[in-house]
Amino acid sequence: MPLNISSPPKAGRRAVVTTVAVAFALVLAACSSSGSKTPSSGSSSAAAAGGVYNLGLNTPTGSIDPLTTADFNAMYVVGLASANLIIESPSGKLEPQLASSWTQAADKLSWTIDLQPNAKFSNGKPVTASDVIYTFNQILGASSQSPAKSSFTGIVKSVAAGSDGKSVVFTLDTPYSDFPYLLTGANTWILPSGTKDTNWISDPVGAGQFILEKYTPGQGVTYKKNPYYWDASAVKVSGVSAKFFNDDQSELLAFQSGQIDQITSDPSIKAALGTSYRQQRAGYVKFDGLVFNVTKAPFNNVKVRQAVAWALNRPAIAQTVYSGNATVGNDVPTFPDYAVQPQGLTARSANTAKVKQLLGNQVISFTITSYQGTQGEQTYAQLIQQQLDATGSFKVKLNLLTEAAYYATTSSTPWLNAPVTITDWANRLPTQLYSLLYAPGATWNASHYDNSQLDKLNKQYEATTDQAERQTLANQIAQIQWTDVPVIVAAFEQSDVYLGQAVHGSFPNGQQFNGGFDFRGITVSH
Amino acid sequence: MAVAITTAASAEARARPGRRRLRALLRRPTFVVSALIVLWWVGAAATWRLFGLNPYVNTGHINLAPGWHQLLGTDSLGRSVFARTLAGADTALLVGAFGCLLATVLGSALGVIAGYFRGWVDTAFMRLFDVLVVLPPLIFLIVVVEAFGASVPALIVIIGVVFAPGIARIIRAAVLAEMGKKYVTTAKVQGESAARIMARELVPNVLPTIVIQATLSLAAAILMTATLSFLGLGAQPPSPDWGLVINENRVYLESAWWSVVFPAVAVGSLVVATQLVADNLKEVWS
Repeated sequence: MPLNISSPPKAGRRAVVTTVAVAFALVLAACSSSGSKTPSSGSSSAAAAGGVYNLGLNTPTGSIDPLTTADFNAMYVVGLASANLIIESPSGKLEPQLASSWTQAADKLSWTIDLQPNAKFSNGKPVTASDVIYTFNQILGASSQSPAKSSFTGIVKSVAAGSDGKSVVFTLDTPYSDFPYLLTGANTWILPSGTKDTNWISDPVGAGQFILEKYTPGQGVTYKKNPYYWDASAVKVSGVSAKFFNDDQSELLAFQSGQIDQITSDPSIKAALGTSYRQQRAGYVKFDGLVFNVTKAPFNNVKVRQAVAWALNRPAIAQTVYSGNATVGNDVPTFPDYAVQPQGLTARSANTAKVKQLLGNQVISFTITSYQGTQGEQTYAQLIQQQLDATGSFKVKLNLLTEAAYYATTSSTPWLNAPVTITDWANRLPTQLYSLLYAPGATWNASHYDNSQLDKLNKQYEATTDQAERQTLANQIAQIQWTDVPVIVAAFEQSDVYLGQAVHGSFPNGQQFNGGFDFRGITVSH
Repeated sequence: MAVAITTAASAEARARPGRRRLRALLRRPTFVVSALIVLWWVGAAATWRLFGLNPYVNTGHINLAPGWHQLLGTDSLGRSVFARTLAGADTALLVGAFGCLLATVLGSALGVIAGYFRGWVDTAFMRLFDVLVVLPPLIFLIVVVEAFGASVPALIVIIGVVFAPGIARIIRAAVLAEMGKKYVTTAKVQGESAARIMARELVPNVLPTIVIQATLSLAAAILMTATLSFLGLGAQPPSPDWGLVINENRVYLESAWWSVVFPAVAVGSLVVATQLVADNLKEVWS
């Protein structure tokens, strides 16, 4: 299942719970306005220096397990107390975290990761090579349930300590020039050797910027600053207090009343807040893929897929679904912050004449399957329906399921079997997305697409470090993806948050798992 | 022959008070206004397509405030709030009215049977109804919808089954009051069958109660339908169903109030008007 990297869906059957609670939340939020400047419980002991940052999160779904959780909010809870070896800046640049440097061997079949000399866990014990090896053995083990495992499968052969004892050597099955980017992914936080993933929340030791003090399921979590963090002097806030919300409206009221210091932007939030608050836009977080099952009629006809691609008004999608916090896509899953951008493709835009040319006088009827909620899929599905119906060449119906029904863990799960689906995909390397979305036989290949030429080009791309060759291969890969359109990528969404009046400074790496949930440089004046 | 003359005379006698009651109703402003509101929404549900309204198409203006260009403004997907509000009457009245009709037919039949036969039939029905009536209707509906889905036919059946016990209990009580009257005894003495007595003698005499209960249930059914949609258990996007529209747009309450307020006024006006019609019927008939 793809990672849910923005706010999780709240509508659908889950809305039964959330909407019933709305009335209470509205009243509570309104009542709290007068006392909203007071940091919430658990923060009083940390009310010094840069203050306590009050965070609003959606209630995490599932358990808080660092190596296995696929829920963004659970990742946030873990990520504040944990650290990766490397993080990625919003511009796509790699930055050190628990690793100080990384180098590729001359034979391109291994990477040596040097550890920060002063990296320590929150219990004061140093981060060692054995901790890193333990963590990756947990991720890569035969019984691993970690979503991160697929990123390393077929790439990493073994993980071992370096000869100096202060580094780790990843030996690869095949050359992989973007390997360090894999270390920025979710579920690759370094855990102390011997940590049981499922027990982490009861003894939440990590090497992150904060120490998790108290986790109350369904309510929130409090942290204090971790004095052992390798760059602790750069962390100015003395703690973080996160409250869980189940409803957009109650979270908005909490933000407006000053109860929380930030809120993630979406069209409704933007419409309510306008320009009265400071916004911070960070890196790209996801795209919502319109996936065609190419084995089922009418989508076994490439002209139908192309016609849909030419019918979409992508700027309108970027504006309406993502409130402008998005870059228009061209049906190639290469995020705009990736170093090698495909070249030579015609940018697709709404072109009714082209649609008619591809379909003639046919009217294609089909149903788009996706899930309910405010994550964007529901709005996206309705907008696509509007746009396609407006051409006169399509008659589109929607089947919006609950998230649980859409991602049902059965062999007939809708998201992998329905003729047309909309699924969100987190920011990953193009090669990762290829192996998940396009590779023949890949578990998450909902399009059931199979192209040996594309497979071959992708393997060549993974192996080479020559920039000119990479560019050529990227262009060839993109040309196939653009022509065959098993997946329509209409826009890439960017992270965008509104910051409260009390917040000073800017988040250097956004607030995503690949940026390390980095609070360095932030202060609050409550 | 004597029986036929008596029946004709009683029908004529019933007709005269009927006209009197109708005149009494028409003198009541609350009834007239409420009935007009209900008729407006019924007319909207039946005719919105004839006026070329499209509740799904993007007008090109997102969250446009009400004005000359768009009477009730547009929503976050640029759809006309006017068109969506009128079209929303469709699902509200379709599920509400047919669900209520089913509940009335089912509840009346069971109530008449229980009241007529009494004994173990009455006891069995009443205990079953007791169980169903004490269940919180919304929670019961949520569970049933989860189990059987939220298609329009399923919702009609579910609403019908949920509201039937309440109607049955009241009709049973009305039938029990009628059972001691002479016309029932006379019909029995004449050898009329139980089915005929129930259909031809009892039902006409408890009809006012049935109509009042049906009207009261209609208001509740419309509200329940909107509630289910608001909770995401009824109509699905892009339906203009009022409950769904309110849920989808409530996050825009601060910035585009019109996309929430007008559907809310619609559902409120229809429910209140239906309830007032029922209240007036009840007062005039009793």
